[in-house]
Amino acid sequence: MSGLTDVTLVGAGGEYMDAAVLIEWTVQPGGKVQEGDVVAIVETAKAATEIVAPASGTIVELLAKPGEEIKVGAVLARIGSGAASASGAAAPAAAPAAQPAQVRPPVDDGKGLVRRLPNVFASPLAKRIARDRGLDLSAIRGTGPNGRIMRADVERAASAASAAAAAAAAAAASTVPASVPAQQPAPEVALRPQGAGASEGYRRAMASHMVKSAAIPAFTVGMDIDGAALLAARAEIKRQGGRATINDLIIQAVARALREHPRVNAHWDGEGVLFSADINIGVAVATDLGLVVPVVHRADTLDAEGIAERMATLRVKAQSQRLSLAEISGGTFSISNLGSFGVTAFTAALNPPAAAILAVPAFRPVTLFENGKLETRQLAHFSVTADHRVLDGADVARFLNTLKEIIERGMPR
Amino acid sequence: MVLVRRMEERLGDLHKQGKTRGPIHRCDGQEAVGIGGTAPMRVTDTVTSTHRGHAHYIGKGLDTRRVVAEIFGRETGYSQGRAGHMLVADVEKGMVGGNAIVGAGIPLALGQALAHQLHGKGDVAITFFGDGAAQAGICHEAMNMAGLWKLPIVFVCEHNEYGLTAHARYQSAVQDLSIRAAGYNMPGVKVDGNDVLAVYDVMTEALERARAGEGPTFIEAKTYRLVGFSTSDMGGYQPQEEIDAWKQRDPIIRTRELLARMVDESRIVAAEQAAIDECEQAFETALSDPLPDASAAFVPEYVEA
Amino acid sequence: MARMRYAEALREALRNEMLADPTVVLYGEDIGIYGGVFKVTKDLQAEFGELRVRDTPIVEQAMTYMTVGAAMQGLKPVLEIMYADFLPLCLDALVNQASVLPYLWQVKLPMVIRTQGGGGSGAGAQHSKSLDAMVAHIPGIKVVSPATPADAKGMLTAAIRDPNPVVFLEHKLLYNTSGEVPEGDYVVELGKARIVREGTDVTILANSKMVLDAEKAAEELEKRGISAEVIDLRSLRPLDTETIIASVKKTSRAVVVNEGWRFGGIGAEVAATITDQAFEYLDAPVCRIGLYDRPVPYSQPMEMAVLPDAEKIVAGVLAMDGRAG
Repeated sequence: MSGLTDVTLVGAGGEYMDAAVLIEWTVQPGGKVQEGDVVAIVETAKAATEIVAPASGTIVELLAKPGEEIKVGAVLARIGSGAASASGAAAPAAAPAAQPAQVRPPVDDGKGLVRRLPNVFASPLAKRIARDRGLDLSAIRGTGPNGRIMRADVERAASAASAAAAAAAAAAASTVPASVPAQQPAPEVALRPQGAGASEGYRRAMASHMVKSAAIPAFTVGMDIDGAALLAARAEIKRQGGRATINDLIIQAVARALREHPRVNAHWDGEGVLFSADINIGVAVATDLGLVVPVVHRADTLDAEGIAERMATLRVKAQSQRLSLAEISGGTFSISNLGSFGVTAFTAALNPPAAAILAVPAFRPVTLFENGKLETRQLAHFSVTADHRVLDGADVARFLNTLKEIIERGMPR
Repeated sequence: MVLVRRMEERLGDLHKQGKTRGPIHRCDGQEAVGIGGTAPMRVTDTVTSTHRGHAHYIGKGLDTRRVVAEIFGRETGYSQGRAGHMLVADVEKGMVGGNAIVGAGIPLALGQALAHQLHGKGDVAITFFGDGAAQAGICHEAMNMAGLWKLPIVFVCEHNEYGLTAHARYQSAVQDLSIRAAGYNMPGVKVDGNDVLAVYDVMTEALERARAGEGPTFIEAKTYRLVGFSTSDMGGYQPQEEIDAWKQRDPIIRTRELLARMVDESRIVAAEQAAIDECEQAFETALSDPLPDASAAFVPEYVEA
Repeated sequence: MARMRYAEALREALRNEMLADPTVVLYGEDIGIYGGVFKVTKDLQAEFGELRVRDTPIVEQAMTYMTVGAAMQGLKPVLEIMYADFLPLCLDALVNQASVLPYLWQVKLPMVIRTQGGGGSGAGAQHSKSLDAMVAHIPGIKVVSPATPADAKGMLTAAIRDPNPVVFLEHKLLYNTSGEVPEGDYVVELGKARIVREGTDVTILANSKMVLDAEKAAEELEKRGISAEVIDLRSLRPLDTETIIASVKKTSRAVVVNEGWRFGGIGAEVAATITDQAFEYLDAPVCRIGLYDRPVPYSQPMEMAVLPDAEKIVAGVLAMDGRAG
């Protein structure tokens, strides 16, 4: 058909990319796009990447569904130039006489050699092992000549990654309130050179997400919460050989609280507030590429151990960039916990489409004058940033009160 | 000789028509050496030749059509088109074979003579080479060993006065190469290379010596190359008077004159015509033979026992 | 089994084959009356006569041609070229005749050219070379080099029986080495490498005398906790690619040691083959150890400095991972 431009999936320049998973469309059929506008976000083994419109025009059709795998070179969508064909109203040539020749975006059609420039220097063996194990070479430090990554380096990283997952869970639990919470920083799996190419696509995806987030009218409400019961519960769990961490307990508490405040679990769907039947809590995890937010689906149906198990798996997958589409979507509420970094207070940014996000800092000892004497409490200043189109201050304050009560009263097991 | 001459002329014509591939080295004017020299040989005597060997090939009994096919790269050629005109061989007929490396045939023939000696069947190795090759180290090395070991070998120097474009006086310290034979303990015989019967006689004697275990002979056959070095030869270095003088002594003309004194003219004409017809027929067939499949180039590297 | 020197093992192979097959003949300088400068052909002329064991004049080029011619006519000639440094004189007949004629004509060339090379004895620049790569470059011929007396006998026997031209590379410093040699009819198939020592961390590929240096290097490496697999290539053309690749896939590192010049040498061909067929198994580039790319000097400290040896092999292995010695 004349006047149509194919939107194809081209090799993103990363190694071993021969297919990608469509995460979401950022356009709709009938929508207008300019050349260079983002039309879709796809996820490769390594990073999330944007697909841009190769030409300006109107989206005629979308040829793939979110979640579908697309091969490099496949056509994802079609953009029509000129008006969409109205039935017979205009002259038979719906497109104007000056019909643009069909513009094909550059496609790797096999002529010439696909250049795969190395982002890192690694021996062929190291590359193969990294590929087979799903490890990001740009995150691995090489000990060979000239910093070359050798097999031993990759194998060390592989075992460190699985150790790190366990360590991260442990680190989150070991907030020692007595001393200034100087927690260990995130385990050193992620030593990576600045500007590592493999994460560029991911950064860009994150950036556009953050821009969207910032465009939403938001406000923040905070409240100090006493962690004594939480810490006691954690100690009890440890004694009994459980693995639930402070963070897992907080997730559990949040899930309970959301049950009583469904509006905090809702989101703005473009025209109004849409409530969600499920409580799916996205938990921010720091990885080498940056922040990912895997989702604990139906978190209110899980007990602490169940949450712990789910989180452990999600963390490992997050670190090795193996989260599936399902695992990072559907979140109705988000939590960001910077307690292990020793942060005492912060404001989290919204993670759309969820309408609210909880920021959890570290518990720290605070001495108060109460009832005529000095008392020291383990307090953390929780805060919730909320989408003002869905929630107002009172909604959030009420939610925080419920959360505070659940956490301070002690978690029913 | 007539057949060979016709062949050379045809090749020259085809070259002018752009139908040949690579340079071709014609032996017009030298046919008597090859034809006269091979005539007294057994099939089991072995001959090594040069890059200018068409007379040797035909004289040793090779099939004209298959020689021409090889020259034109056809799959019916002696090497299925792999060799080309300078490297034609037929092991069964004892032609082993043409060679494009100047002088290579000489020490190869030496090796063949060693084998003949051990096999003890009285077979002889004959090597044809030019005056240019006579200067090569390997010629001297081989002649020395042949004389030293009294091998059954005949060295035939087809002296056509030119090594490529340089006349022999610019290439050789002596003009009669047969005198070198004495330096290698073998008889050196000078013969008119354009007298086919003289060549025949001299070769017969040399073969008998070799078969009797008396060792090698060096035959210097004086002849002349009427056409240039090869079809890519620009010419101009052979003076016309020289060419004309030698044309008078053209072996075919001389033989015809000799025969005319002995037999009826009609028989001569018939014999010539038969030779020409045979040659034409061979060309016609060969030129319509198919080219080999490209895959024929790829044969296993090693032979199995 | 009998214990004998490398030179004696060669002689036994020659003699056995000459007894069994009347078409086996020997040509070479000083091989008849004198028995060969390394005594490999000692007393053979006395036993088999002058027609079968011929002393030639000093004419390597014609000798090689002659060998080709004789092989064409039903003999199995074994030509001795006194020093590998003279191989260039043989190249014409090898490159333009031995390699070419079987491809064009209905002839087989069951010929063997025996020669010896190698430095370390103060023989000087024109008597110390190993021109393995020069001859291994030629299609249609086989190029082999035994490292042990047993292989000397077994491989020479195989070479004489082979219907293809074989260049048989001996080493002047190996003639006097001793080893166990099977008695009687003993054939070692040409084209098959020999695993001298098994290991897991690095593959050391060597031929001829370099095999002995590789073994020494492996022992030294073991003291440093590196397990080296040593392979005696035995055959340079054709290469036993299967054995080479299987080993490199196991160890992920390879060192090739050859006493010829490094540039364009045997190491280069083996390294390219490994890159071709085992690229994703390599944890480091293939290391080539060869002769320093200049003539071999005469004075001992200089000669030792330019020749490959166990120490240089060890250094090469360590350097692969960026370690110094």
